[in-house]
Parts: sequence; structure tokens; C-alpha cells
Amino acid sequence: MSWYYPKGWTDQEDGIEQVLIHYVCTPPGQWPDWSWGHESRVLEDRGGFPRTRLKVLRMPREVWDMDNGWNAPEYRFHYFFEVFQDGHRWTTDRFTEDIVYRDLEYVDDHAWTTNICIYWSVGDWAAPVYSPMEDPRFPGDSEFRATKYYSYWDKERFHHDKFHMLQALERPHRWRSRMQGPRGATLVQQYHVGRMYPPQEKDEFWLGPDGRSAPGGDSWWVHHL
Amino acid sequence: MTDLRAAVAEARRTETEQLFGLRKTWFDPAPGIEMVQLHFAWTPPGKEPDWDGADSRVMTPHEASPRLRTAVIEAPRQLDGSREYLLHHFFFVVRGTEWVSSPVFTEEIVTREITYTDDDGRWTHVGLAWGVSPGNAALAAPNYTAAAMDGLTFEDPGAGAPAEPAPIHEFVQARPLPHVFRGLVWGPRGAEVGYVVHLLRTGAPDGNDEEVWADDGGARWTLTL
Repeated sequence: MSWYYPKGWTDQEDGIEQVLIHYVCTPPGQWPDWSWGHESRVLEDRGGFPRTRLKVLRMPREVWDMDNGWNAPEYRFHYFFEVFQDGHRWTTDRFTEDIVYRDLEYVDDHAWTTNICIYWSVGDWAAPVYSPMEDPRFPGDSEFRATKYYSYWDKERFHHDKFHMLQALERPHRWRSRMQGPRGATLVQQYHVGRMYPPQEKDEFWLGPDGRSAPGGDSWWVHHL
Repeated sequence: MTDLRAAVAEARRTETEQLFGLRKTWFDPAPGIEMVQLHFAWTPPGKEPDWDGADSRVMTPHEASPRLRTAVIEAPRQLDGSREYLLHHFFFVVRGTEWVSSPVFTEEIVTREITYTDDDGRWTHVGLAWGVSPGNAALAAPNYTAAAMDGLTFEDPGAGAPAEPAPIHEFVQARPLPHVFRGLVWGPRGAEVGYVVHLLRTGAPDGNDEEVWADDGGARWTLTL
């Protein structure tokens, strides 16, 4: 699973033909060797005046830290822009951001919820991300893990069996998952909450601090990383 | 020789690790749809996807049409050493309390080589800015390929944009004319690709660097994969 990070550019002068972003992720405290490897993407021309450009980057959940022998959920994101303008190319300074995570816990005292995700995005709602939540007590090898829901073709069976497995867990249920973003950035966040069993009690909604909301609607939490 | 070695390392790495952007679209068939997610995975030909390890994107409304939602996914330029593979995706749709997964769609990702012939030896680097049309060319997600020149064995026809144009003016000038550059584009078989050619002259002893976008008089060139 990935998360998505919109990186934008606003033309400050006329004559800009294309803008590329070059980027690479490293473990904490490390610097990239640009001659060895990196990613590059063309920013999408969104028009307007001044002209804006945008690329939504697919970001890793973890970066392999060879020195410490583990996958680091917090890492560094290094990038610069390459600008083609009036028949010449130039590049911006090179920037580095610390990617950090924020874990959320949704406490369900009454075991009402059968499915829940964090619905979140970096900055605004331009590139929302779904992070399925799970109570850590739920079996890791179960076919009814939240991450398996989307491709589980017999949804009715999934709803039935997961409901009964959840009912067997002591209350409250503590659903957990993770968001990520650059340190200093703002995350907007809602929950998408569902009760999919029993059938006569089916209900689902996006939840913000003021209650039910449309997805990315008028009620959401804000997190400062 | 150090520059050449760096160029070789960069060219060999870039295609194997780089991705390309592909915009996927969805039209709401009826009002009331709250959210559409695109789940996607890739496999070698003949293999079934492992949806547990799949990725997903929330499809966001697009200003081109009130019922249109889109998302740009990032697909690999190579999978297990092959440039051609299968891309699988399905949609997960939320409408009220109905949570439905669509059937799985499988597309064959293929490549096509584009050549540019420089009769005068003017250019040191040639790139392709290209995108796959999802039915509307204006919605194509932009991509870049740094083309390889015949005879420069350290270049790779499928590489992304380098962090800096390699200092290869002397290597280019040492090759007999005409100079033929070859670059690859990717996409689902049968899809239309639009492209323009990016021409760069860098590192010339006279300092007369130059950069031009050839776009067939603004019309772009197209091909069908």
C-alpha cells in the first residue's frame, strides 16, 4: 500500500514549457546520490493564470534502511524541480523533507462498527488516501482482514463472518491505522465508518468532528505533523 | 571516463526502477455515488494478481465532466526484466450502504519505439514527452523518456529524465551521421499515445546550448499501441 503526496508548482514567469520533479527517498539522516538513482515525473499542466502544475507522487510506506537492517516508516524525501523555459533548462535548489507518520485509534465502545478506514489527504482533499483500520487483536492471518475486503468477492459472507468474529472480541474495539506526510505539513482526515451486518442494520457514513459528512465534505479533523 | 561510468550506471538503473503515469477514468452511472476507489496490481503474462499486495487510489471528480472521476496510477516500466506485462484493476464503489467491487479488468501493457533522426548532429539529448489517452487526449498523464542514441551503448531507450543531462557532447560528436535516437512509450494495447520530441544540445565547447520542443506544429504526433 502506498500513500499519495501532491507536489505543485506555480509559474512565476512566462515562457515555461515543462516542469519535471526529480526525487528520491532515503532512510533518516542519509543523503541521496543523485548520480546513482532517483525518480523523475512530469508535472501536469493545470492551466490558469498564473499557470499551475501538479504531480501526485506515489510514496512508499517504508524505506529500506540498510545500516539498521529494517524498513523505516519515517524517512527523508529529497527533490528538486527541472524547468524548461524559453529554450533553456534550469533547476531549483534541492530540498529535503522528513516524512513522518501519525497513528490513529478509533475507539468503538459498543462494537457497532464492522468496517472502518481513515480517509485522509495531505494538505487538502486533492489526493485522498484510504487506510483500512483493524483492531490489533484481530487475527493477522484471517481472510477477513480489512485489507482483504476490496477483493473479497463474496461481500455478504465477509460481512457475516467478520461481524461474528468482532463480536467475540472484548469491548471496546480499538481500530488502528496510520497516516504519513512531510513534517510541518497539514493532514485533513475523516473516518469512513460502516456497519455492514446484520443486513437490516446496514449503515455507513463519513465521520468528521461535527458528525456525519460527505467524503471530504464540510467536517474533518486537521493534523499538524 | 568517470562521467561515462556514471552515465552507464544511471541509464541501466533508471528504466528498471522507473514508472510511468496512466490515467484511469470512471463515469458515475447514476447519482448518489459517494466514492470510487481504483485497486490495481501487475503481473507477468499468465499470472493472477495478489490483491493483498495491491495498491489503490481514490478517484477524484474531474472538471472535464460532472460525472467523471479520474486517478493517475503509476505503473512500472519493467516487470521482472520484461517491458510487457499485465495490468489488472477493479473499481470499488460506495453508494449509500451498497459497497460493490466491479469485475477485474486486465490489460496488456506493451511498448512502442519512437525514433528521431538528427541528420546534422545538432542535438546531444533527445527526449519524448508522452501520455496515454484515456479516451480524451487532454486527460493524458504526462510522462518523459530520455531516448538512447544508436552507438552509445550506455544509454537506455526506456529511461526517465536524468537529474542532469549527461556530459556526452564528445561521445555524440564522435558518432557518424545521421544520429538516430530511440525512445520507448508504454500503455495498454490498443491505446492511443500522443507525444512531442524534446531536443537538447548541452555541453558544447562554444557554450551554445539549446532546447526545443518539436510538436508537429502544436498538433503532437500520435500512435496506437
